[in-house]
Formats: sequence, C-alpha cells, structure tokens
Amino acid sequence: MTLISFEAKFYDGEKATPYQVLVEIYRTNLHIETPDKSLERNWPYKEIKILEQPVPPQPARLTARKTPNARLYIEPENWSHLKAKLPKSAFPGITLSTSWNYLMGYAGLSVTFILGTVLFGPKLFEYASQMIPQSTEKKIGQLAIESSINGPVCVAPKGQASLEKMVQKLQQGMKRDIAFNVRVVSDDETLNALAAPGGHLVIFSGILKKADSVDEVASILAHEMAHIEMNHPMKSLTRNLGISLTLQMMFGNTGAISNTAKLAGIFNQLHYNRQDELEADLVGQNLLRKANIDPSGLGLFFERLKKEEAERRSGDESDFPEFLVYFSTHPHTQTRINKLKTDEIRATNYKKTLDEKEWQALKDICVERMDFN
Amino acid sequence: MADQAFIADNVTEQARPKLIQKNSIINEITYDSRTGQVYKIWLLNLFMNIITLGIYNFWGKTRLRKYVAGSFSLHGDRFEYTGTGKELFLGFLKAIPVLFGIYTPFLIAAIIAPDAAWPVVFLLLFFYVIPVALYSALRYRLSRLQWRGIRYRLEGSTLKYANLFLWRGFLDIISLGILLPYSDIKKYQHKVKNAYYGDIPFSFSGNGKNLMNIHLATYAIAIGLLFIVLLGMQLISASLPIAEILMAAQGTPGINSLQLFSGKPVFLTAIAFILLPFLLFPLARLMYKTALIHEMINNLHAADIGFRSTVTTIALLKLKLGNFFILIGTFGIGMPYIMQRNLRFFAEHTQIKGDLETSKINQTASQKSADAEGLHEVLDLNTGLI
Repeated sequence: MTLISFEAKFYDGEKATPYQVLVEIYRTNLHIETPDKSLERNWPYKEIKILEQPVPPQPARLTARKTPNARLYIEPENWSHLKAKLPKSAFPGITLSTSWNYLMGYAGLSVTFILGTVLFGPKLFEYASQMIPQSTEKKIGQLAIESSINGPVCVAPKGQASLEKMVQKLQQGMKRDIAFNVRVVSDDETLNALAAPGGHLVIFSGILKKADSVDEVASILAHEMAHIEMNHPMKSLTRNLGISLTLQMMFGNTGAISNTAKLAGIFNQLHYNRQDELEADLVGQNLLRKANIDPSGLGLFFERLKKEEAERRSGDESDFPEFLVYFSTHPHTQTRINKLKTDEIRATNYKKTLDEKEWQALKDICVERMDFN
Repeated sequence: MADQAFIADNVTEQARPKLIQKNSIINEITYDSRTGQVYKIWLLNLFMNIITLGIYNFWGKTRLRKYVAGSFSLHGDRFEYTGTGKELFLGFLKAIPVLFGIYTPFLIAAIIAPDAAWPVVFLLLFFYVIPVALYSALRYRLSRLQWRGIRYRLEGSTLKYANLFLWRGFLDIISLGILLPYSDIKKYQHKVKNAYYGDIPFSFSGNGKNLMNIHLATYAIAIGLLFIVLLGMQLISASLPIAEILMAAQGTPGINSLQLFSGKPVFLTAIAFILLPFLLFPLARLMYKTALIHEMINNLHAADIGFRSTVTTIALLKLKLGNFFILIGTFGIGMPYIMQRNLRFFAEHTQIKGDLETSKINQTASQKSADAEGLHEVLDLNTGLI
C-alpha cells in the first residue's frame, strides 16, 4: 500500500513561525512533521476539525480539538486525499453552496418571496390593524392631527353646530360605531380635507370657499367619513409599516439595492392609497344616499376643479399626464369622476343637507378662530 | 506537490540578498481573491437575506469576511478570520435591550413633556452609542483576525474612546473644522495604542501637526469655492427678474420661467459656478486624505516592523471616481466590485518593512474576547461590505 503524503503549512498557535511540513495520511490519523523532524504531530481523524473548506486558491484550514490554536493549511489540490478520510464530525455545520445551480434556486425562491410580499403582504398587514385597541387608535389619531394642523381652528358656535349636524346625518348610514370629532381649519388656500384614526375629521376652509352648494361639502365630508368607516387610516398605517419593515429586513443595508426596494415599496403604498381613495368615493356616495342627500356632489366638485385647472392653463383640457398618476397619492381626477358617475335617475326627493341659514353659518365659521391646542 | 503555495516565499528568499539592511526589507501584501467568487457569496447573501428576512445576514457577512481575509497574505502566509455568524447574531440580540434602555426614557420624556427641551438630553446618549459601537466592532473584528496562527486584539476602554470621539467632535465643530487633523490623528492613535499582534503592541509616532499645512491649504480652497458658489447664486437671482420681465412683455403663458432663460449664457455660467465647486472640493480634500493615510501608515510600528503607504492623490482619485461611476451606473449590483477595488488598492499601496523571518512575535496568553459587534449591527453603521 502506497502512503499518500503531501506538503502543507503548519502553525503551532504559540509562535508566529510558519512550518513547511510533510503530511502523511494513515488509516486512523494524520502525521505531520517538518523535514528535520524538529516538529512532529499526530492528529487522529476524530480529533480534527475543519475550520474552512478550500475555496481555490485558498487552502483548507484544519485544527485539532486538543490544540485549537494550531493550524494546518492544506492546498486545494491535496484536499481530496484527506477529505474522504475525515469523519462527519470534522465538518462544519451547514454550508450553503455557492454553485450557480444553487444560486439560481435561491434567486427563484427570493423572487417568490418578494412576489408573495407584494401580493399578499398588504392584505395581511391590513388585517393586523384589527388587533390595535380603540384607545391606541385614538392616541395615534390625536398625534396625526396635531402634526398635520398648523393653523388656527374655526370655532364659531353656529357654524360648528351646522357641521356637527351634517356629520350626524351622514353617520346614520355607517356600520362602525365611532364618535366623530370634526373641525374646520382656517386655511383658504388648501382644497383638502382629511380623516385620522379615532374619528378625527378636518376640513380646510378653502373647501367652504370653493364649494358651490352645501351638498358638495357634504359629499367631501362623506368621503372622509367613508375612510373612517372602512378603517382606511389604520389599515394604511399597518400596511405601510408592515411592507416597509419587511423590505427593510429583506434588503437591509445593501446600498442602492435597498434604496430601489424602498422606492418600489413607496409605489406599492401609493397604489393602495389610490385604491382606498376610490373606495372612499363610492362608500361616501352610499352614505349620502342613505342620508337622503344628492350623491352627485363629489363628482360635480371634481368636474369643476378640473375645468378651472384647465382654464388656468389656457384652454388645455387635459389633466396632468396619465402616467404621472403612479407618483400620486390620489387617483386621476377623471378616473374618479368616471367611477362616481351613476346611471341612476336623479331622485327628486333628495333633501338639502342643511337649510340656507345653517349653510351660511357654516360658511362663516371662521369669524371666530382660536389656536389649535 | 504543493509548490504554488510557496512561490511567494521563494521570491522573497531570492530577493533577500539584494537587500542589505534589515530595515529596508519590503514585504508586499497580496490579495488574490476572485471577483467571481466574491459575487457568488454576495448573491447568496442577497437571496438568503430576502428568504430569511435578514436573519441570514450574520452568517452571510461572516462568510464574506472569511473569504476576503483569507485572500490577503503577507510573506506567503494567509490571514484568517475566525468569527462566526452565531457570535454576530448573539451580539445583535444583546445590543437590542441596550438601545431600548436608551430609547425608552427618551420616548417617555417626549410623551410626558412634549414641548420641553430637556428630553433632547437622551438624544445625546444616542451619540454616545455610535463610538461605543464603532470601537467594540473593531475590537471584535481584530480579535477574530489572525496571521500565522497568532491573533490580533484591541484593548483599552470603550468608554474612554467614546469620550475622546465626542470631545473631538465638539472641538471640530467649535473650531469650524480647523482642528480636524488633530481629531483624525488622536482617534487613530487611541486605537493603534491599544492594538496588539500576539503580545507585540502597535505603536504610533505621527502627529496631527504634520497635517496642518495641507489641511489649511485645502480649507482655504474650500472657502474660495464657497465664494464661487455664492457668486453663482447671485448670478441666478440677478437673471431671474429679467426673465420675469421678458415673459410678461411677450405674454407667453404656458412657458415657465426656467424654460425661458435656461438657454441664456448667464444662466449656464451661473449653474457652472454652482456645480463646479462641488466637483473641485472633493478633489482638494483627496489631497488631505492622501496625506492623512501617509501619516497614519508610515508612522505605524509593531516591534521592529514598520509600515509604508504608497498612496498618491491621483491613484486615490482614480479609485474614488471609478467607484462613484460604478455605483451610479450599476444600481448597486457593482457593490462587490467596488469592494474588490478598495481592497486591492489597500493591498497594492501598503507595504510592511522589516525582516519577518527574524522578528520576534510570540503568542499572547489573552483569551478570545466574547463581545461581538452587536451595537454596530443594530445601528447599521456599515459603510462597506465587510
């Protein structure tokens, strides 16, 4: 029987002296010695621990359990002689293969995971919003309102009474039992309204200025209340948090790649935001119907906004380019108008939301103002 | 037989007779990693992190470190990284309560007194955490690095380093950056003076004073460039009203003011005035960076062994510019290649002076330090791949 032997590098772990050694493979042990026999070691196979398997041009790195600082570096071409002799216990735990075949497999799996997150993640995280207690929701809403209002609040008592009457009427059609807290913020430039968790509703006074009729204000209010009815604020909170956290965990700190993932996450959020808006448009319309209020208000309001915008841009009838909608939190105005259009014959028995006097009081709500907080 | 592994040895063996003085023996550092293999490990980590929601990161990072460290060799002997993914993971778990311990009082204070300023005090604790994390991460990494079977280690108090770090940061701010070279050197010195290879301590004989000339020169350039930026802004604001008047006179609604005067030479000049300094400033600072590297490396010693850097500003510029274009051109896929470029650059431009054969370097009796770089992980201070 021929004895297999080869050269290797040895470090005793006590002194920084490199030894060129001859390694001989025996039946139960490895014999290591320098040519001048000044150094000699016998390593039984069951004592050997593989620290690293060879990755050419790097050698295999071995140690012995009794002398864990000692090192035997074996060149890749000699590794096969020894590898077969070593017991399973010598090998390190799981080492994932980096061969292209395996990498392709991992790539496929990770694409599946990403798709799964994108497709099922949002609904799953929305579901988590149900686990948040009402008291927490209220606190979150309070914080959200405090951070988004930075103007005085309009508090004329008669106007506030009109506003609350309107909310009360619309609330009749709601399934969710929630106490609303509605406010007008003095800001004539802002054509917006918002709903925060915990039943907070805010209308910017610009809406009151712009509205042609009280029904238009009612329709905007109904849209915001529909957000609360559908629990959109909390759903989007848990959804956005869940998705961004998942992406952060998946991509961690990989520089440009994680930034790309974050960007994709934002587009995903925007998509669901637009879905919520369309849903609130339709649910809001239902709230109006149930309260016996003309449901065409929101559509009319949008049409007028669109026309004015077009006039401002000298007769150019088009809205902002269609593709830009992907960068927007809200759907394309034309899309909203189209969705809101109903074939139903206008019932004649719709009632005005408020009488003329109440509507005038609401318009004048900003005569009395006070600082928020 | 395994001849290849000893080629490096033979080269120095043949070269030695030519070098008469002991101190003039120059040992090159070699870095022989294969970019393909780095990419394979990097891709594996990327995919596995997606699949495991980031848990694999600790093991993936370790694998890359092992490969990269093993690719460096000095005098024919390879380096070895002995850290494990488990250690990193446990360090991460240990660091989480520490961060919560700091974050919770801040959160409570912010809720109790939302308008008061004093909760900001807790934010200072966060600043403290950063140098603590940096130092303990370095301590961990050095303790897991070895050459010829002998480990490196970093001693010294982490808190002392944090104090120094924050104090120097404070001085940098109040001196408007003039004292920066002293800070750079002092922080480096603290690390070097606590670093050991086996029982041999590293020492450092450099001084921030040596860097003041180049620093002040590039500092002056920076101020000059700032004036140019201000001039450019002045030009733009001066040309704006003209554009407005022109537009009103022509009565062309629909054309915005930028479109109207962006073709005007004065506007382009102004833009150039603003953009050019942003390109020139990093170039000026690279000169300082080169001087800093020389000061740090050339004055570093371990017993009878010295170090030398051959970095030049031009070489550094080429490296950084290349990295920049690779980064923006590949959307992050080029990261491993950038890492390779950086490591090769380090190996090419760092030399070890002295006779490694006769140098007395012995094994230290110290134990493996157990604290992994947990805080570093949580804070995500990582700037590179390793």
